[in-house]
Amino acid sequence: MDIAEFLITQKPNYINVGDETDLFEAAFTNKIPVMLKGPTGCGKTRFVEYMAWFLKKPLVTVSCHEDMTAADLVGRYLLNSDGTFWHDGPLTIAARNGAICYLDEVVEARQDTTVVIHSITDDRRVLPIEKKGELLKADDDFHLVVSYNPGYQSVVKDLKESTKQRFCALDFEYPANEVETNIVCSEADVELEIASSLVKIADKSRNLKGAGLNEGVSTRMLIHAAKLSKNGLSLLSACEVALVNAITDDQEVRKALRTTISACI
Amino acid sequence: MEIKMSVHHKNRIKHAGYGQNVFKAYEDAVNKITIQIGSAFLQEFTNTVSYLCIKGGKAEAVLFCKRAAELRFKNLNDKMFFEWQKKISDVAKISPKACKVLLENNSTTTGSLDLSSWLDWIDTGLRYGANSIDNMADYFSLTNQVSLSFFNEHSGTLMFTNIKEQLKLELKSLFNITPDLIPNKIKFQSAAKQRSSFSDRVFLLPPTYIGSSKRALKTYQAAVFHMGAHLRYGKKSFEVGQLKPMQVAIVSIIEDARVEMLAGLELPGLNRLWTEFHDAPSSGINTAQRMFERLSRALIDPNFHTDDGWAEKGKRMFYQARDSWDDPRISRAIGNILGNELGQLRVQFNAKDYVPNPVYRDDNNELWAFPEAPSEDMQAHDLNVDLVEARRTTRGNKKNSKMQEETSENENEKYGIAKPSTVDEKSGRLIAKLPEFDYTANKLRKDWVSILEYRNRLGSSKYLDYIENEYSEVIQKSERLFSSLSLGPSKKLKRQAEGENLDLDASVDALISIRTKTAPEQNIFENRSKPSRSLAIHLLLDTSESTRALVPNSSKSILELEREAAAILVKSFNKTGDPFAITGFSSNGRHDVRIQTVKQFDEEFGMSNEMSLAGLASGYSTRMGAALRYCGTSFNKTLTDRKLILLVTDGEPSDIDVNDAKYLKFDTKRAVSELKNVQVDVFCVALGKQAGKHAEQIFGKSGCVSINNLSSLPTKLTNLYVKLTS
Repeated sequence: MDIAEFLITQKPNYINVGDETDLFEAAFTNKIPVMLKGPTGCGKTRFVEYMAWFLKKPLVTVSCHEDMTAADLVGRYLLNSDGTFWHDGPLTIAARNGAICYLDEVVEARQDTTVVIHSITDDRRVLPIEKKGELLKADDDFHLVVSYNPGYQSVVKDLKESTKQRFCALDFEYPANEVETNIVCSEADVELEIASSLVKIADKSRNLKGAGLNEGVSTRMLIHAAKLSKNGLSLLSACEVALVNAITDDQEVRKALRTTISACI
Repeated sequence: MEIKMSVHHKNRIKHAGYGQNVFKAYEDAVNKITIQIGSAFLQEFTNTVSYLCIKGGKAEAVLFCKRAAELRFKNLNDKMFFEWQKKISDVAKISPKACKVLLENNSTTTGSLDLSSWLDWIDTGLRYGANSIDNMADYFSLTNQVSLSFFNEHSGTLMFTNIKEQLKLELKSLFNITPDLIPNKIKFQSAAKQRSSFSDRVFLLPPTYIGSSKRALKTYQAAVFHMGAHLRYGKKSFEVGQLKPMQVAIVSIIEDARVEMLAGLELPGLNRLWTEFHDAPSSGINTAQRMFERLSRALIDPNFHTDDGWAEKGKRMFYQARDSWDDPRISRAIGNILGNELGQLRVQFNAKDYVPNPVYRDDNNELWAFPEAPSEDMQAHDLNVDLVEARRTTRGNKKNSKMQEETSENENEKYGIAKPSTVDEKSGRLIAKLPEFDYTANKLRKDWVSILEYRNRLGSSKYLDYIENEYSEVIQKSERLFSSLSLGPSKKLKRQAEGENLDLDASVDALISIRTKTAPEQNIFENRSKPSRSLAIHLLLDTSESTRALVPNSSKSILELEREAAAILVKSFNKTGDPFAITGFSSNGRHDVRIQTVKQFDEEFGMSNEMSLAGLASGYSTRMGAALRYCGTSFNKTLTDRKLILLVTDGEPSDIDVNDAKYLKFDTKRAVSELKNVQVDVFCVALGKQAGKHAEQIFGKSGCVSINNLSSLPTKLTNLYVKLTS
């Protein structure tokens, strides 16, 4: 495995909203694991990609899910014609090669899986690989980053306290209107007026968080709507498809969103 | 021949001693109606007039004749006329008082509804007032919220209550505010003048915008967004000071425009919405009302030009002050100037008749700080004193009980949660009010039926022992059957000794072990677990009067057999551990749906339950839909995967206050569908062929079974349960 495959060579489009890049860099320098907390589609993953590019470090990304086991992170023996061979998992690859390992939506994984990161996220910085009988010392440049959406927290799906306390956390919110407008403009390559209307819609929809919606419209959804509007679709139709239909099945909330969209355009 | 008939009928009324007034009214009506629809109506018409004279009074008969002559259903023909007068006659037979009220409003109601809707509206009224003539008269009077709500339902007018939740969401989204939205009290006759009003916590809205049916939703949206704009961009109230009523009105118009323009700058769609309602022509008569309307339009639409110099001046001043739109003082400043000019033009302003236009605009009362008590000054302004009083009592006053009652009544209650009540009835305890479906209006009527729990009559404490003896073989068979049942989702089991599929991880591990010359694990298969049993069942027993009847060739009544069947099931439930409840039901009208609780889910079956089961007694009628809904609420705290209501009945849904045979059937069908939507299954065991036919219509072929040999009920019920739950 060539770790260079995981390097990000092109600068990701990311606009700083606060001092998050400085904070991340400080955490990286001190090898403190970082937890990114924020609503879906607000730019957490894009931020990690940007930081990996900025720091010139490879980025190994894992999308966590309920069926993920410790072996999926650490590695397992596989079989080929020559016999068995050990295959490093993404966490081991990152630890061995000094990469950033990014566990996206870490709370989706079962708690008995996520505890595997404990020993590598405290001052020991070691990863026990029991099946190999190896105690891997993490490379100096290894850095663990996780993300999760606090809005989906539940009694069942939450990180253990012992896991949470190994991290420092950066809170992400949707960017300020002007910043978000610029993001939509540049990501979707649309005019300022369209981006501005879309951001206004998102801003209003976020008032419905907890009052009909789990989350308001995300920046990602706005970019989808903007891109759709470039291909001959009216902005109203683009919003219907990318925002209204995607975010909720509740008919009353849908009607309210349509009214909001009509008011903003 | 026709002329002969006509003379015959006229003579009948003339010589009956009803008096000259009745005869004259009758003759006028006959002449007018005959021209419209011919004379086929005469016989029944004459009969009705005669009946009314005898039972209701001559004044009522005169009123009937007048209304008959004025009847204006579209495409009126003799068949329609006959249906109309038959219904009037039906109401008169039940209550002459209610009929009088009905006739008084006849022009209004028949002018707003087509015949079919009008007949349905009457039928709803007969049901509504089945137990109270006063209620029935009230219903036909159209003078209160309830009667207007019913009427507007039938006329298809969009009711505020239908869209209230949508409006709330839209206000939260656009303005991030959450006021209470409450329907205003309204007299039907003054509905066209009704406007919304607001405080910082409450928006009062007309229950319906009369005459705006085609764009009713937009009217409500325009109204709430307008009030939202006032809250967002308005500052503290204006002092009335020495302002005359006309100046107050004009300042209010400017302020309305100011907040709308500010809101429209942020949300251009709102500006488009409000502009739609401004349709004042550019020229016309120079009354205050018309000039105000031209001014309003000119302010919101800079492209509107009018011949009215005064309105144009107002527009110029308003737009010149554009940079100061965020300052409410400009409204007063511009309003003062325009008010003085209008006074000099000697334009008359009648505060009593004035209504802010367009229809979506509020009454402007919140803009003004009024003196403490309504005074002569206020009368002079004639700003709606009632609304001011209502708002004064609610402004900053969270404890206003009237508003709170209305707020709590209007809260959106989830279907299926029975609303508990602490009211004690003399012979039964009111435990819930539940909805009922009126198929004629296609409406689920909230809180229509009252569920009352009655104290159980207690039977023998040795009842289960008796059952054990009587049905020992049946009980043993069923216990064997039940122990092999299971329900619920199965789970994937890895690393099993046996299974249909290989567990990949376990297999790889085993091979690795082999290659590394260590002993491999033998459990390399995947399997699925048996489904875990997860079912709650509510046994609902019909205890209506008809269950008192003896089963053919038996000394036992239908209810006795139902009790015995239930007792056998209890034995089986105890074996399997399924949570269960047992309830007996009957009804005596919609205000008295009678529940006898034998056992609830959260209690163990003990002696008191045994005695309650043994003591179930027959009586009254069978309001099935209500009983099913009540049972549905009993599952609220059960956590099982499956929930089942097993209904045992010997008849069709019926009750003493319902004449329409289809009404309760449709309601029961609707209840079944509602329960299915919340994952509660319903299965009906119908006793007898006739009951089986009705059950099939309501529950569908797969939702019921008919037991014709009633003596076999105890055995068959158990077998049925096994079949249903396996």
